[in-house]
Amino acid sequence: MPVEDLLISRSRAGDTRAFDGLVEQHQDRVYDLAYRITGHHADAQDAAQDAFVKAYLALATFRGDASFSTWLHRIAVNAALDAVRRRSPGKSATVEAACTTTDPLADRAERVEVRERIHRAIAALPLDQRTVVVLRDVQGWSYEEIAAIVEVPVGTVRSRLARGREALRADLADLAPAGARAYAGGNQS
Amino acid sequence: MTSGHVSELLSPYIDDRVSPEDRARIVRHLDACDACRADLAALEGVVGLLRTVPPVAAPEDLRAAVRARITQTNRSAGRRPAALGSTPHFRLSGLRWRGVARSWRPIAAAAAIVVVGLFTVNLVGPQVAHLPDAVLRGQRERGETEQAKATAPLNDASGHRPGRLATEAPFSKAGANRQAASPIPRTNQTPDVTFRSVIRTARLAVEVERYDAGARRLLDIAEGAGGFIADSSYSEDEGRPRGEFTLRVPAGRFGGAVKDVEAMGTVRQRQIGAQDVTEEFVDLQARQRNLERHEQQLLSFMDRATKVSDLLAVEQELSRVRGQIEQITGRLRYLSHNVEMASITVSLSERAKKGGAAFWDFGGTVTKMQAAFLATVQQLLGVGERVLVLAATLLPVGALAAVAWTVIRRARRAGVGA
Repeated sequence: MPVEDLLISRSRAGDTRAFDGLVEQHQDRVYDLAYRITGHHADAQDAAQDAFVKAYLALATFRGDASFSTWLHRIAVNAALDAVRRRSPGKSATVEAACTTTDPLADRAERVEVRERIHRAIAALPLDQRTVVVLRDVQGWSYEEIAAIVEVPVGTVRSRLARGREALRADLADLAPAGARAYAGGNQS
Repeated sequence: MTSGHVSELLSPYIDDRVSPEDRARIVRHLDACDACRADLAALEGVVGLLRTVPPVAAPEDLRAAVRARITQTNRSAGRRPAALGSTPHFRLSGLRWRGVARSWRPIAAAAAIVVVGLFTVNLVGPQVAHLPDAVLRGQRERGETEQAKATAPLNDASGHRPGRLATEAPFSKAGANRQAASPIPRTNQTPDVTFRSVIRTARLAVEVERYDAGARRLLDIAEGAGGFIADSSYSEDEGRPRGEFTLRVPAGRFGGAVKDVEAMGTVRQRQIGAQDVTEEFVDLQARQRNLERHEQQLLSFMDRATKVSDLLAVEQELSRVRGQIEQITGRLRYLSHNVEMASITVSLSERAKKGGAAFWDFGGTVTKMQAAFLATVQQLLGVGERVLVLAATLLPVGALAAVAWTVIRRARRAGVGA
């Protein structure tokens, strides 16, 4: 994407407005990732801010060989994990209620409840599995991209994802059938 | 989950990330094993659920917070990559100003010099004044029909501000080392944080002794500046060869290349323009961002759409948005290319052979007479002007002298009377 390259090179030269553009472009995904990993809006806000500031300062070390987005999300994952570790381990149980975004398809109260369950279930996963599950199933990154973001081999991504999904399957067993139908209907037919 | 089952492979199987052999084994096993089939359905159900989780948007103030922290970091640590930028520069100039304010003597000295200088210039004025005038006249003779006007910009301006007339000075200042580093010229020169994306164009008509040599020289100039000849055409006008060349050179080498071209022969026409496209750039980028966001949203709708009619509608909208994004991307690429590479259009012609065998060049004589007559008139006007200016210069002195004289005469008369 030539515009992004342009924004990157300008940011590197010290143009904070160009960097604003980069933030604008990526803030939603970065924030979403931070929120899913930390489970809290306050932590997500800190982590997302940390990620962008770190990215800005480290921009000089960014080589064009990896995609900027992957590079940025690697920083974001680390910032989110730092935020979780900073928080005292005992507190991890108090997961904030998932926020209800304005979603045209979420008209039923039941759906809000389901979403809440999912959010809690994700937050209950071990950090390494949680990161991979969020990146893959919530955000839709490919295995290779996830491997680059988390800095582990693709095989590790595969196994962490399998374990994370398995844990979620056990946790959300009662919800799954409904989802299974929707998923199968959307995918096959 | 018991050994022999394929449950540990189901997750990659969903993503189609298993080897062909594993895939065959899984399919065979699923056919036979109810438990694993149920596992697969449940796993697909969970993954499907996770995909319905709507993305959480970043809070409104995130960007502002990031920016504030970056500014703070820059200020406290003076760290790159914001370095070159404004803060240290302003701080430096602030210090210098305070230092100047503390010592008043240099200011007084400077003021005195300015006053004395102005006075001197005013007195010697008539002698000095004709110097730049002569320089100007010399130039006028060089380019007989010079039309250095900033008319409509040369590129397809599509309703944008007409280029402002630019002189060569800023171009020659622009460093030539940057042409590869940044597509936006003058990023390092201006401490200003706002970037100006400027498309530079020049249109020159040059008359040379020999056309072929001129064409070769143009190629040398273009390539020497790290550019190329994008376009050229050839025609003959009453037996004299003519050609149009479009040179593309890196923006940083623009000024030098224009000078080189002008040095080739007599400049008949010259038009230099700079079209500022910063606003369009920023505008397009914003639109692109919005569209891309919209596209993401549509994609996530598509994942969740269950009705065929919904899917179709979303798909239609998606292709429309894609089309727009591509259009904008194309325009952005076009703009950034033009900002990077300035264009110089040269129309090259061979000088007309001297009036040949003609016995008496009547037209030439008339032209000479005309020139002589005009020169005399101009000189007379110049003398008249200088006389007027001198009179104006002496007027205050004369008034002062008159006052002094009156006072002295009164005093003397009073002395005589007593």
